[in-house]
Amino acid sequence: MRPLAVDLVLLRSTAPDLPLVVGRVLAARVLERHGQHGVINLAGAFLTAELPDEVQPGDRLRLVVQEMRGDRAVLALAQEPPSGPQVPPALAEPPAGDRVVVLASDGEGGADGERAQVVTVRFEGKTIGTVELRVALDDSLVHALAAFSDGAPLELARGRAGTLRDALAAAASRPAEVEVVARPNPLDVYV
Amino acid sequence: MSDAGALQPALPADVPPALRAAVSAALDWLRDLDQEADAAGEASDLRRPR
Repeated sequence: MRPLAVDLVLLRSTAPDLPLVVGRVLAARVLERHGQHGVINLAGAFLTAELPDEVQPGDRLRLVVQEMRGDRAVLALAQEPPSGPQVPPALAEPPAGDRVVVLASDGEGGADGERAQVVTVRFEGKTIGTVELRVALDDSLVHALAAFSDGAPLELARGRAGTLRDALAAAASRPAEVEVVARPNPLDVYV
Repeated sequence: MSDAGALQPALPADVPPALRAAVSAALDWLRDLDQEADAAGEASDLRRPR
């Protein structure tokens, strides 16, 4: 896939909170394909792009922000779409960053009884402090529950909840629900 | 922005790709939130005792 130049005005009008920083990986979904080109959904914006031969409607793409040029952002494919049921683990891992610990994962009634459908992690932010995050997935919905310290971190997170909802919907290719709540006690682990 | 003791999460192999992607997106959001708060110079107001 050739790098895709995206109109920043269009993208920011559709997704004003989308973080457009060089190196950032964004999730997109292929909606249509016509010859070498197709329409992708990137954070709610519908964009035309040249697509690799193997990409089909419904595939999910991960696009990395390569460059910012004036009113254009240049995006490139971060990975090929999965050819099988599994995304290569190395590419699918959450990126390294601040302290992140996986607390639990389980298959709460997963359809196949084998795969985990819920993941709970603890994020240690330098400024926002400890956040317990629970992400649950079923066939029709992805749901996130994020528990923040009461006060400024909680207020900030509530103000940005829509951004998380959009990102989850794009990443999981299904509607998303987000709850931002106060942690009952800084020492509690929300699972 | 990583702390010296930063941990990289390793999700279990049986986590479905869509859930894996969702967790990754949520962590990106948290990092952006943390950076935004930090950039706004609100560290002293936001930080809470652990």
